Amino acid sequence: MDRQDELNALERRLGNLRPAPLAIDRDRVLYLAGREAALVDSRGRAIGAASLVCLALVSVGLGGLLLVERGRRMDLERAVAGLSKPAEPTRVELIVSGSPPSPSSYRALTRQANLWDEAQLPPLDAPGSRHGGSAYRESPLSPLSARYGLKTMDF
Amino acid sequence: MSAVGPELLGSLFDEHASALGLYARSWTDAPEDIVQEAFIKLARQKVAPDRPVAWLYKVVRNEAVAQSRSIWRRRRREALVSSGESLVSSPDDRLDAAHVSAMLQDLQAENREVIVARLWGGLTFEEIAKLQGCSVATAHRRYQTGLELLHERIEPSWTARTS
Repeated sequence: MDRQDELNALERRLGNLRPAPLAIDRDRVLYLAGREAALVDSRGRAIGAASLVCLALVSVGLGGLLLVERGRRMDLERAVAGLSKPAEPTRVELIVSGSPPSPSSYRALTRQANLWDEAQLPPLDAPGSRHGGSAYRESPLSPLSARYGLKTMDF
Repeated sequence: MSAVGPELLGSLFDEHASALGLYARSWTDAPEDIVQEAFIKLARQKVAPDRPVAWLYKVVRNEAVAQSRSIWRRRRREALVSSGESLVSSPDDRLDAAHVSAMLQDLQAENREVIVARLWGGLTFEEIAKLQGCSVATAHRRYQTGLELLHERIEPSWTARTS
């Protein structure tokens, strides 16, 4: 028998031996293991439920904070808007004065040009034109004045 | 519910508790507590290990090594292992088993560990290598060395009866 055969024989012989039983009560070990597994399960469920409750509370708290913060921001926005309120728009009042505008004023010339657009321009040789006089008579205009702030402008 | 059911736990206990105790004796004088705790830890697992037997050996090893760090426990263990009562098979073999146990305890711890895990734990050399944190070749070499040392020390008459 060579060396390896001897070792194989020894291996088989050793394998046939059984370790001495331990001084442990099998039922007790299984009972303790089962109880521990149940504890782990219940602990896991409790932790899961507690986590859920905590998350719900955190969500509610964050929601409340969001509302409070939003209200503060809106208040602040209103306060800032009140501080930087723009000046009231300048009122422009038209004042019709009794005196007729100057014939050479912008308004008088504009009106005259509009009238010419409607009734064609008078012939150049028509009496009353600039070259030969004209029958066209400008209707009397009432002067237009505008008040801008404290100033009054005539047109 | 635990990932390891009571039936599996019971069969694992029946098949491996004694071998685990023998394995733990390499480091500690109180293998019972360690083996019991290993099974309880296994029951606590929410996901069953791929190889529950290898997992049990790992847990037992870690716990036994941690316990053996106490000098007092180490001295007491050394006093106990000399008694060599860790292997039995049948009443006829009791004497041989005691002798083998004594020889086994005389081996270096790493060699003894491989032999126990391989012969009575049924672990593969890959699993033993993982337990010991060494290569598979090293685990195999330790096993061979341990066997050769046992062969030299055990009475030739005992081995001759195997053939």
